[in-house]
Amino acid sequence: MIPQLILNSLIAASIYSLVALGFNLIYSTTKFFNLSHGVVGLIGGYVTFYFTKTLGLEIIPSVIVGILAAGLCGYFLDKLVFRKLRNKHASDMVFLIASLGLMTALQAGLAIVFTNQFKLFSIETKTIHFFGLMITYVHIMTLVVTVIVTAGLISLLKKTRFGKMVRAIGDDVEVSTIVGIDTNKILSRVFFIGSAIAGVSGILSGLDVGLGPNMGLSLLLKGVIASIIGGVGNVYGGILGALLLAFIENIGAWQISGEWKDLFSFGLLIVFLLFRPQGILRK
Amino acid sequence: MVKIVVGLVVLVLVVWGISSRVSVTDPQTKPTIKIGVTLPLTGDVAMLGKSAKNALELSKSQLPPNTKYNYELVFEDDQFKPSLGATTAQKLISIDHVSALVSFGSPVGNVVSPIAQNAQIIHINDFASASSVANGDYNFVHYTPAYEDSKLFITELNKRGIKTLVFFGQQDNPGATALINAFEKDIVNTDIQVLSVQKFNTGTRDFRTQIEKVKSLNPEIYVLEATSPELELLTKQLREAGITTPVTTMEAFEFSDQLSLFEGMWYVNGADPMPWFVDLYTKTYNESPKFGAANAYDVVNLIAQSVEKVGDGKTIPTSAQIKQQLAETKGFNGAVGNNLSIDSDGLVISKPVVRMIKDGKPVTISQ
Repeated sequence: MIPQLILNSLIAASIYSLVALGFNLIYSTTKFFNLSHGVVGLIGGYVTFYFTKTLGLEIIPSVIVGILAAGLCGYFLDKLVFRKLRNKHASDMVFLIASLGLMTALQAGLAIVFTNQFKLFSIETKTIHFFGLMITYVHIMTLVVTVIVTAGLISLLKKTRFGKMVRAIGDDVEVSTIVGIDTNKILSRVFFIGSAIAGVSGILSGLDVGLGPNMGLSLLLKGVIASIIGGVGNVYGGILGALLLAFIENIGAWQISGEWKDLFSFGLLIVFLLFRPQGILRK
Repeated sequence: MVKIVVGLVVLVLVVWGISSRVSVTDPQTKPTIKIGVTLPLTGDVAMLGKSAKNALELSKSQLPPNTKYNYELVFEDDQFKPSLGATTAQKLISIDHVSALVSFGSPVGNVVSPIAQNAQIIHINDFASASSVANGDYNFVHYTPAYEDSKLFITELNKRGIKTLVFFGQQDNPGATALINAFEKDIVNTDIQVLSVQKFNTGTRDFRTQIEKVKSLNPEIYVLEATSPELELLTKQLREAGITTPVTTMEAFEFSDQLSLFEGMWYVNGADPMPWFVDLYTKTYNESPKFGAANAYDVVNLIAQSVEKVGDGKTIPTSAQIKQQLAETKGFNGAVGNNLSIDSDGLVISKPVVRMIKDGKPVTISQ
């Protein structure tokens, strides 16, 4: 029972941390809460669904198209909306409202194109049993992909010139511009990468529990809670936050009842906001 | 220029005044009874809402031509969400000025009931298992009540020798809660045991920990009281957990459009539609009526029958008059059965059936 509970928590944490990774990457450079992040991730899931189920493409190329679609969606949202707001020196509140508007509009767009009907990739998933544990292929893929994406993003930020520029913008955008960094170009790339990572979470989540146009918000909320409790804007913090959140939710469901799951996750958020608003790793 | 504009405005006003006076005084024009309908026309159970909409329109088209009143249906989409249902009901009452409200399902029905009662507007729900939807003298339910489902479910469990079960129930769905509560009340003096009731909220996608929690109890059957998509995900995750134990339900399976997930499983469902209704519906729409469509068909007839009885054909009868007439309904021959009556709780009592999913389709196996 307990090993399975740990495994279930790790699987949930993987999805939350993928959302938190992209969210934190964008937040660390732009310093605003991008509420459209979850639904952008969902676009990745829907595009993958369309290519596999409607067009009959193989799953791997469909996933690549889905990730690219989510990345491009983020890129164009930045180029068409957020960059213009940055140029106008809009307040954080304006950014927040704009991202809320985009989230609502994209969600409505998904409902129009793909209908509100819930979509399952498959009603059967292959399961592996080992040492009394049960895991599906989708879950194995989720765990592996999360490790790869996390390692890849950390390497990108630590070991490349692009990563240095991202961190410099995160520290001070004006100084970065003065020293010659093309901030708009870098931020567009940050949006592309962050949204593509959200796309990965949307696809994995879709493969596991299906797709619905309203799922973007719940996907985002869990990612944001993970980010806040881990330390908003901190990539490592997002992962820690996701782990803590997933374990608290699953232990709560196991010990008390599943209907209390949201109470635990949002309760944890309130506790952190009250007693450690900077999150676990912010310092 | 100003004179021309003023002249045109005066002309338009004169023409409009004459035309509206003509329509008011025309003795040939029958007053119109507006029936406001709030249904899930989009969202996870849209297929059921659309089928109910078809049935309501079909029913209106089948009304005899010599009625004293015209009947108009005004549709609103509530996506099966109580919050939207409250808004659509308010809109239908205050803006469309409907004479009667029709709602679909327990979650929306439960919020429309107090609104209708407060506004003193007739409200009939055509898909609620929760009898609480009929609370108040303006509210009625035309659907097999939870206690009838529960009785038949216990009979079927006994017939199959099933003594232990685990429930998974959507706790914020009053229909699911009513069914579980009715069952728990009815098994008190039987040897059937509920080993666990696992509750969850609408929107839950991950049931693995709850499944793991009850797996070791080894029930003989799992009872799933949930709507789509929670129902499909729960079933999928039970199978992924290696559980091959049968699953069953009272009322829930036909919320899904992926019935093959429940292939070979028996369950208890609301009353079957009459064959003539199935034929009429299928002939009209080239598809079979879905779960609850026959009840929707009856609702227009129930309202029209009451209005025609109390109305003089010149003025619209009051809600109190319609309500009184509706409450006295006896021996109604409808799409769900013959000789139906409304009881003192405002419920149209119909008997459930046992069904099974065979080749991806629901088949009634016993009445």
